[in-house]
Amino acid sequence: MKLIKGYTAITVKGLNIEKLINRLSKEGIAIYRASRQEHKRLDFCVEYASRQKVIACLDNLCYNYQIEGDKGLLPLIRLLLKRAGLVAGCLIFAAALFFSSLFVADVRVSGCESIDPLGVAECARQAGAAGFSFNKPSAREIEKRIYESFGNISFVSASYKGLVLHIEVVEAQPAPAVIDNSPKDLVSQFDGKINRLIVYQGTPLVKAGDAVKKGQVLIGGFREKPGGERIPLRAMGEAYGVVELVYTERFECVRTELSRTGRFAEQIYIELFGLAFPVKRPDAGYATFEEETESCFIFFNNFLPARLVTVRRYETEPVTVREDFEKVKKVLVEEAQRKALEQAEKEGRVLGSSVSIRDEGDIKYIEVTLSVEKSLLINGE
Amino acid sequence: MGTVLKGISHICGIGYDIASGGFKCSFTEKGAEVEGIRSLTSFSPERVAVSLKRGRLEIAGENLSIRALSRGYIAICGTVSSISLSEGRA
Repeated sequence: MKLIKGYTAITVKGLNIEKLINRLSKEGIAIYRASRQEHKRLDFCVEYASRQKVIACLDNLCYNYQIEGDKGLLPLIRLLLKRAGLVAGCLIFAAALFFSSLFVADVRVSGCESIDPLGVAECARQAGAAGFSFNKPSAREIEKRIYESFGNISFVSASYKGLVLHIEVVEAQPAPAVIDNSPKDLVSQFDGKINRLIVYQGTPLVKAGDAVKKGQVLIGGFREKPGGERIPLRAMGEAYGVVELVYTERFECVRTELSRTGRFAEQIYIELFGLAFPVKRPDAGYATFEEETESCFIFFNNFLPARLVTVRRYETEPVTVREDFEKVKKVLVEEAQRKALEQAEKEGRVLGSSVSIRDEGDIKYIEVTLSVEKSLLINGE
Repeated sequence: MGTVLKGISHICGIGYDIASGGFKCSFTEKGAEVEGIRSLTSFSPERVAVSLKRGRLEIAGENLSIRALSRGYIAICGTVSSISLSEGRA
């Protein structure tokens, strides 16, 4: 009861403390927890309701006193009422916390390699957890639904962190490939000339230097016994042929490019939870333009993920550019060779290259021909 | 007169001895309570003295403090070693 009504702790310094106590008692003020550690000092408590009366009494008797503090529920309520703005702020904050606990701002999926993250997010949405919604299903329910929807998931974890639903997926390892030992020939996958032939298992049916056709058996899937009997097996080996690959780069001596005129229009808007709130709109409608977008977070601590987005449109106009091919020829040829080599190395071992330029007026073609040693083999039936 | 006072004190829940100007004192090792006091005459951690309508009561001990004090009532806590009562008007 004392805690509900509240009490005030007071320290009084002065002489004739007993007189003060008797005066308070006479005034009908009950005192509690009075202790006198020093002769001139008295520490005591009074009911919060009697606070003003005690202060008036102490002022009247000219005692030095100090209010140590008001404790209890009633003083707290009075203090809060004096600070209505603070209370309102606390209530708004508490309400915001409460509503944010029911709100999902975004769904983030991680750990997907072969699985489409959008599919996982869609699955979570079907479970009720979509971005920017007030529906917040349990993480266990979301995990269950994702696990049931995708067969190749070995582990899934859903957890709410703040306003964001994080879904972590661990995909199941693919089953190891079954080793096929059934008898098969190795055949050529395209026309060419055999450069090298290495046989691990089976019988070679061609030799280096032979021209072969697409589909021709290069290594037979059998082993011949001295008596002529053929034992079927799986042919294994390597066969390389030389092929010529041609890469072409096109260069236009006269071309039309879009150039900026110097005029631009700026659009500024605030982006919050996927919504755009325009601040400044562009008034120019350019026929052709280039667009640049810049964005930055408004609040440093990112408590509210609001971003200021600036979209700048630069007006452009077509300009005819004429370039002398001879001046840039060396650079262009080197660039074409580099690109051709990059692509050819994916195909096989590069043995040699040559460059030729085909002139068609304002358009020049740089042709890089590469001799590439390429694997010929594929499994036959 | 005594009968009327006895009846009133009974209705008010006050002991007849207190209502008639007496006092009531109860104490343990950890504290003491006195009803029917007039005023506090002395207060220190070693000694608390109160005046009664007829006499004076002194409580001696260690670390004495007033747990509650209101009109006519005092509750003292601390280690009480002795209580002495002196007759006569304080």
